[in-house]
Amino acid sequence: MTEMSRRDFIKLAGAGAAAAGAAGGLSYLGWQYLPGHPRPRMATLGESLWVPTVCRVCPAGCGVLARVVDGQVVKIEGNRAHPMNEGKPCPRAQAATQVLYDPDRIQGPLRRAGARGAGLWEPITWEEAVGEVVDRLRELREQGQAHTLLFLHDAPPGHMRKLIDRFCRAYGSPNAISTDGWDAERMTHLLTQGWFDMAAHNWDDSIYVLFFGGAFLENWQPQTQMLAAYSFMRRGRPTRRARLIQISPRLSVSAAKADEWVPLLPGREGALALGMAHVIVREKLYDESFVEEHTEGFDEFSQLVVEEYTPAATSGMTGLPARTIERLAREFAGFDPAIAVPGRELSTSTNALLNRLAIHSLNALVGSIDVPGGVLRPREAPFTPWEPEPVLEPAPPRLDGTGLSQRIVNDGPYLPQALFLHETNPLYQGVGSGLWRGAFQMIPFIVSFSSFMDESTLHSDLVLPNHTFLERWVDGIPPGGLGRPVIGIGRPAVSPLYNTRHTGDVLLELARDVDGEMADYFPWADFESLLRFRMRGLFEAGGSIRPESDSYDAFWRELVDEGAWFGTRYPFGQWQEVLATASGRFQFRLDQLGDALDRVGLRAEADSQEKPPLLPRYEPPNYAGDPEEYPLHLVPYRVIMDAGARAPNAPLLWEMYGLHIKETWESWVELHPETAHSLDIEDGDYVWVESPQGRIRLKARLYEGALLDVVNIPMGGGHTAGGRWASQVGGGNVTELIVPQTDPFVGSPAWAGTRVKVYKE
Amino acid sequence: MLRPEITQTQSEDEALLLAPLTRTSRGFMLLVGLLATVALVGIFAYIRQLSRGLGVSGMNRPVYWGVYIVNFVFFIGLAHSGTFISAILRLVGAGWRTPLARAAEAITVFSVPFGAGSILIDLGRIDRMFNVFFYGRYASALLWDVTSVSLYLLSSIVFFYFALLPDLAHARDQLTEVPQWQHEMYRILALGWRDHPEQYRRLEKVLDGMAVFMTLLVVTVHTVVAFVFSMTLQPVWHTAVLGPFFLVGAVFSGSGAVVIAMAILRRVFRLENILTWKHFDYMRQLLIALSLTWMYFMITEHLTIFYGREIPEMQVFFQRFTGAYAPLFWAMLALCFLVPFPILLTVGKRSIGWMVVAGLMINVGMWLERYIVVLPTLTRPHLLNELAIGTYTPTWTELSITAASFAGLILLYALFTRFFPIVPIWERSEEVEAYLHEEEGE
Amino acid sequence: MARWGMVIDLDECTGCRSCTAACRAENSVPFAGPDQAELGRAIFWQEVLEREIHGSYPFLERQYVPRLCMHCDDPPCVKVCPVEATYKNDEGVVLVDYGRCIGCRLCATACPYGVRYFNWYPPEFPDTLERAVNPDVPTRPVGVIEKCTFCIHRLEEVKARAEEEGREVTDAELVLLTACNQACPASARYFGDLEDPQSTVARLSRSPRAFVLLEDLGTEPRVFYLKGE
Repeated sequence: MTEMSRRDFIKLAGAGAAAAGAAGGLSYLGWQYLPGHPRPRMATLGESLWVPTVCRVCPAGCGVLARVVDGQVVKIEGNRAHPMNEGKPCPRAQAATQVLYDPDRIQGPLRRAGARGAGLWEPITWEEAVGEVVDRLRELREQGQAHTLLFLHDAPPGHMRKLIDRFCRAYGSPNAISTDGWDAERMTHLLTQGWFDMAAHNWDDSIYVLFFGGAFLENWQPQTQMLAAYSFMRRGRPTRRARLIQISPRLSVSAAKADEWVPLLPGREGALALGMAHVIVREKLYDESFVEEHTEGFDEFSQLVVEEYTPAATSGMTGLPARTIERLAREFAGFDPAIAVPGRELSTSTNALLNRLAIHSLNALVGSIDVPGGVLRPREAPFTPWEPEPVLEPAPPRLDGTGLSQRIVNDGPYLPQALFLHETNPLYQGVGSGLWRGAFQMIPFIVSFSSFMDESTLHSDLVLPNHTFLERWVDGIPPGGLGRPVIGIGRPAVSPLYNTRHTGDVLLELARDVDGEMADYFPWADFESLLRFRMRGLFEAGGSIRPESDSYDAFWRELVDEGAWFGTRYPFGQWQEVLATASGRFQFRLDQLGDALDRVGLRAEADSQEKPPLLPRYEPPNYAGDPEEYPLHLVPYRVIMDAGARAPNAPLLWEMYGLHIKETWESWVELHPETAHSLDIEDGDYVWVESPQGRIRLKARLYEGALLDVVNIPMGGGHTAGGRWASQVGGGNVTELIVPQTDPFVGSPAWAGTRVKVYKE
Repeated sequence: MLRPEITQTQSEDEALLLAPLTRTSRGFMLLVGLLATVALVGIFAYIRQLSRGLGVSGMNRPVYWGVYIVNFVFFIGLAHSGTFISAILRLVGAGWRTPLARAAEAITVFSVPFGAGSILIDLGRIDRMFNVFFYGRYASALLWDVTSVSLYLLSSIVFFYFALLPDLAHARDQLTEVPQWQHEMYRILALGWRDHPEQYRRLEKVLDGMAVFMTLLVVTVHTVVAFVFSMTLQPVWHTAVLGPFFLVGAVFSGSGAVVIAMAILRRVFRLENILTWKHFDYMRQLLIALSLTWMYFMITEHLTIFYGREIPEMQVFFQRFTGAYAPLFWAMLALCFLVPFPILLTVGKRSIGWMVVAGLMINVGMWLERYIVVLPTLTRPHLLNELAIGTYTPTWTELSITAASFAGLILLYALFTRFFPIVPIWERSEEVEAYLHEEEGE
Repeated sequence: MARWGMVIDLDECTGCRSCTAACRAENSVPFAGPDQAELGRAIFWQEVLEREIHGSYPFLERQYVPRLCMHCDDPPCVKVCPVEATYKNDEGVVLVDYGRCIGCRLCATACPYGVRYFNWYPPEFPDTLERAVNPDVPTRPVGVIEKCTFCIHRLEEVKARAEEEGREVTDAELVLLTACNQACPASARYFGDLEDPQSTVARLSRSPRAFVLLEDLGTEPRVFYLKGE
């Protein structure tokens, strides 16, 4: 054996080092390639459990089934037992697992530990949290300031909403206010038919539908019902194919799928409706027997439309050819049943109520009220009645009316001393969000029940996080819906992941603790017990579930297993219920406008109208902004993937956000190619969109479905909070552009009444 | 240091050819250093790609292929001229090719590995590359590729090596003042070649036989590379002309490279009397013929598409002519034909410098041509889907790997010229000629 | 032997993309995030194609065509795979063997329908989102191709159950078998056995309204569309 020379040693060391280096290098880069790593997830180990519940990613409340494997929810599917969506979910429902397992969820009660909005929080116990709220509420009540509690919510369907309303009324506040913006629709029915609710439809028998505004396939509530109805109306009845017309300011998916798109600037729907009424009245195409037996004020109405809304005049007001107006009128009167349906999304203007009244008058003219395929009154399920809350005398005025945020900021009629937030995000989605920022600063105590650290929750003082819907008892009454009573119900699919609590349970505890008087109205230990109490009424009524045994326990179990209960038929022809006005008839003449507003607590601005109008005339909408300086109309809209405050951080939805225009994770502004070229803007350029209220920076997208003088911007861009994925969404928040204006009668925000200008960066 | 004067005698030529093997100039060290650095950057980029995934490239949906595939086609193409000159011209008896043969074949031998390497770099799962052997399916054009490129590489190396044998023996015998390891290398590689006439005769026969095989192979290889594209149904790819087009383009770019190599070698190693005007002139004529053929295919392809006006094809057509790829497309035409062709016809006749310029332009242009073949079709497939944007921007990873591939090719080539004679000594030797003709004469 | 196919009624389709979302959830498809999605790397096994707006203002129309893997009878992707990592099983479903795929992407470039997707990075299910991964469907590693499988995991389950119960699989069990069909609120999609002349898909595929995409290419897709009106 020869001695190892220095050279040999060096060679050996070198080789050794090289080998070590190679091994290290390979293991660094190669570990994931080694066989069996990462091991793909293989077949199911545990059994699947399908838990029926009510989806709460949007306010519709469709019946869904949560598939639970080994205690984890892996999929959401439709619940066939629920008659509204019949086993079908909409795309938003699939985000429910991402809501439940959102890594940025608030995991327990928090108290602000720095300035508002600083993002500094101190985790506290539920006792402390509830205790602090109780103290504040008790203090306010003792000082006679109970009416200054402002409880903002986004119309959760079902008993959560009823509980909130009840809580506020029992507490002494008239301010349980929904940010859903549908009060104009409800008010329309109150004035014409005497009941304050949204319309119900049974699409299965509809044969001609004129959608005034909105986008029925993307923005309806309840959406799945409409999607299913669309299919049925097209091909479900082999000899009767429905004709669907979409009137809107942009070519949405709905307009593209409709038989005809009637382009109309927002706010002008009333003029079109009255122009059609003119033709129908003049040519005597209306349903004479219905008008004779069931309406009041027809003569004044006909005189109005015949004199003032000729096709020529209406053509001037709407920008549509007179021929089109006449044709639509004749078609509308020619099909039976034909219905006129105002949209249920953001396109409302300063004349929202009057427009809707005009539109609904068309339904009365052709006798489409309470007939198969017509406009129905939703019937509520026969819940066990609970003791009515005390009526406040004198009734303190509600805070909304002509714009909630404006009223707060302008100090009248009184300042809210406490603000509760449930599933709503006014700092982000409130019109003129700058106003809300000001309003927040003036409110001394803000509590959020949100599960997500969104913009409004970030600026609150206390967070009492709710369970996500898959972790709690939920119920749902579809807004509008089918007419016959429907209730969806759901039990928790999984146990709560974190130290959150059902907001319903929290409200019940608050009610019990504030003072004994209030506690009397809330004798239920928790939300589940409340539901159990209320559903007993269904047991007695019969309906879709008739358990074999006579026990309510059996009924309850079966109800929870089914996930839904419904009455088996809609009672047509109950005119006392359907036309519940003082006259017992459909009111063309708006006798009760002032009273009605007072009755539901919406106050008209004293100085905006000398006296309320008696007929649904057309008041041209106000477009804020000088047309010279701001030549384009702004139309904000919601895409179907927008779940608002309920799922701010679901990457599935953001990635599917703007598929119709090939955009993801970012909002945009749609411009007609000609408009864009006149401004020297190419597809994909970044531009400023500026209104008298503010400006935002957006990507410009050329879209042939935009009108020449209109730009369309979706809600959802420009989040500054909500979670790691919400923060990555680009674009800008369109609400910052909207000049705060409201309908003077119902105070609903005029989303589509702002003018803008667009220019390159 | 030997500085041989420029003479005409054979032994002086020989000395000239063997001279580089004995010394390392400073220029050479600088070159190696530079190339190695570029290569290392590329290697680092690849390691990073391996650890993270192909996402570090600019490829996306629908542009599933990018610069790596372009490199693959380009490098395989570049190799063809070597085979053309050393095999095909050998068969037709074009004697002028002799001094160029090894320089050209070296391009082949060193660029095919980078071609094959580019494909490997492009794989999503290079750890599974042997699946091609375990589970290979002959219905797939890619497998024809694997087979033919492997065969091509193997046979080129063997062909090259055999042609190198006598010179290795020569170096072994003649070069005494080289380091021990270098001498050992020659000795081992020379495989005991003893300079017998019989060995030479056998060698010639083997080389002739292999030349036939290589000719068939060179036609197959690049046609099969084209088949990977033309066997799909994508617009503009799915055409019968792609195979011949690629083949012509390959020999075209390869010939340009050969001219560049020749010029550099001539200058650096003072081979003015070995690589003469005559050789450049023959290459020039070859390049003219290839330019015309290439342009002919170009015109035929585009005229046919344009005349037919089929929608999916026109989308790709306009991508090339007026769309996102227009600048590169027109640059390619200029660099492949519009500028070099007149140069070849005019100033190229007298100036090697201009020939080199033409050769460089042709090579850059041909790389662009591969790019133009691959990318526009991928950006405009049949159904441009929902989130398929249809654009592609190569990232620094891809560009540095490309640069490293070129650097690697040149580096290997340079290292080769450092240790082995770049012009075949034995084939120019009168003695050897005598051995070979002896048999014929008898 | 069954031959699986699908029929989609374009008249009933509302362009809502419930199918797209449900497929993603069912098959544990990872999301790409804003940067990767902008590059076009988001994976949607099932997508809804928006055809060009046609017509003249204001009579503008647009067709929505849900597009998934066609499971062609003469699949260009299977033809070109060098390692047989993609294959058509004996019931006509075109599948990918994630363990064998070498990631060359020739199949992706060969497919004229653009239904094949590649994992450019290792797929991530960040943090708690991992809990929502469907245990029935294997997640895919980096560097391999993936695509629609006609929900073969559900198909196998239904077949196994039928076998256990000693009966044939019924058409009713099949029509809404795939996650996309099940989620369609417009009930516009049907799945089933094309070999069974009485099945819903077989009958509908014989409708005069039926057509396939890119028919001239000869790929013989097994997804039929019923023309809209």
